[in-house]
Amino acid sequence: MNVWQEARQSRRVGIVATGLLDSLLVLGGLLTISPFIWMLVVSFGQSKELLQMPPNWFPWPPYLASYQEAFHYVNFLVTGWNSLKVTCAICAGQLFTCSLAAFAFARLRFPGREILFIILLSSLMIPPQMTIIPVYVMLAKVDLIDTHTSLILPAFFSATGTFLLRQFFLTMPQEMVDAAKIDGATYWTIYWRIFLPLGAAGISALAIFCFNFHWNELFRPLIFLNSVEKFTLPLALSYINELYVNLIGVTYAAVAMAVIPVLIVFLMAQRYLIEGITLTGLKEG
Amino acid sequence: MGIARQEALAGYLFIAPAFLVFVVFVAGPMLAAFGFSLYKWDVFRAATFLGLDNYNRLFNDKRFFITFWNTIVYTLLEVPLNLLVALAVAMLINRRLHPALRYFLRTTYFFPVIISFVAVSILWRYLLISDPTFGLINFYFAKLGISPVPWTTSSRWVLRSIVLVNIWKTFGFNLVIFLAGLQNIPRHFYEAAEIDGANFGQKFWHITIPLLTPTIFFALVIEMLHAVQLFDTAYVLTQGGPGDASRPIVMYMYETGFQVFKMGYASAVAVMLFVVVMLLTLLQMRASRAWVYYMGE
Repeated sequence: MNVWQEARQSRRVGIVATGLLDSLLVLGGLLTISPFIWMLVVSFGQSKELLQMPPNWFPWPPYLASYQEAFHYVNFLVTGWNSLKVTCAICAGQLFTCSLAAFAFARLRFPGREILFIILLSSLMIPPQMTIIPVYVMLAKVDLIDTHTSLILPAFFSATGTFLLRQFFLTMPQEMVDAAKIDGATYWTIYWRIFLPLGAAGISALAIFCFNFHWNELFRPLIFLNSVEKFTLPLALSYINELYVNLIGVTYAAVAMAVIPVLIVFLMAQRYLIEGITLTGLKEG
Repeated sequence: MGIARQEALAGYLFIAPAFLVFVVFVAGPMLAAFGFSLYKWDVFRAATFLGLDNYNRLFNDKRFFITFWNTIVYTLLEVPLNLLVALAVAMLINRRLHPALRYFLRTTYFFPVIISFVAVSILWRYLLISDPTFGLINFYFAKLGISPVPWTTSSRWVLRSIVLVNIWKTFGFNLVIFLAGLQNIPRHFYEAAEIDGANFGQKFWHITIPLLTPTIFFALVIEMLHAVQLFDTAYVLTQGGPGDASRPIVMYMYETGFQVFKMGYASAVAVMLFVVVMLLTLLQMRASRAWVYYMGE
């Protein structure tokens, strides 16, 4: 075999290997979303109750009765609105406190800066379950249990968020601060007019994280909320799951209704989300 | 006022909101949890001081040990498996791919990450039904000649099922972190090794793995922090059952505190959780000096 033939041979082997690898990855991807597809199939199926095996993978025409019932049971408009309200309020507050603190830790000099930063960061090691009982008692004392405020207010701080934004602000040159100061800008102006707009990429990454985390949160709502009309979506879902064990079509339709808005946001924002994770991963490494 | 003092004042004002929330809702409650754990308190009557009695009882509480053990077993299974799956897939993806394929893989592998644990657990609850006439997985297993697996009905299998579900749910997150780490490795290391005639295995063990150790360490710490806090999946998918076979420590704390209202005792459980998290984190920090390699050191 001459050199040319050998090269062609190895190229052909390469193409076959790549093809195999690609198909394997595609298969893995399909397998990963198959439970979700199955959920859609069942939720659009004819039967609200029984599972049929083998499943009818193409329920055509789609049957909407499960969705109508789920919409009613989950009280979708109310719980969805509750979730949206709580999550947006948390994110707005958290982004504000985190970005303010991150700016100070990155670009302002004051005594005790390092030690205060370490103290704040140490809270990463405190599992939220550890503080939940005292927080509950405190909220009960001021009559905030069973209100959305009980979910919103304690979430106005995030060690991860402060850390992430500080790393981000550190990449912006000190000279910008100094030049603005010479021009007579206040620290607030520097933060509000320079760092926030230029840090938009980091802030939007944190916003998406924050939104995803609190939109999906179960533990705190489960403990702090009692009235059904105040439930957030995950809490309402876990409630449905216990109440209607046999109504699988309805339960799946409820889950699908909760998942589909997230899916749409994800498809639109996935680049930022993944860049955001990459950001945290890289900065630590 | 001097410029330095002005800047310092601004600094304190800027960190004040975050610090206030931190003190009131994190640091304060953490100290309070230690205090609570020394009392007997059921919310309805005045608290009575017990000293260390709650801890004494804890060490004689069989359910405490079972739930504690469940969390440990879960962590030891879930964390390494999750990272292994994520790393393997990252290795397969990390090459020149058609943009459409890249988009498809990114979307599908990452999709479970963004859904709530509640939705995921409900979804899998029906997938994992043991009876092959209703459970999808066991139905197809039967077709392939595999005997049905008692996913959530046997105490031997139930923790493994939760591990499986949570790996499915979260490996996409670690995948993205590993991909970023892999892309951070300078190409010229591989090119130099290829000139020296290194094969795939040599490149993997002598370039990829050492240069990826900071990323692996980061993913390990985060994943472990999440794993010891296991709650949602167990609460929704298995309700801790059968018996206590899949009840994690956080669920035990939740039930003692908020269903039976033994607030003092539940605080003692929470303190133990904290101690474990602390020990694991310190242990990892210590061990990392031996195996994590930072470029430029």
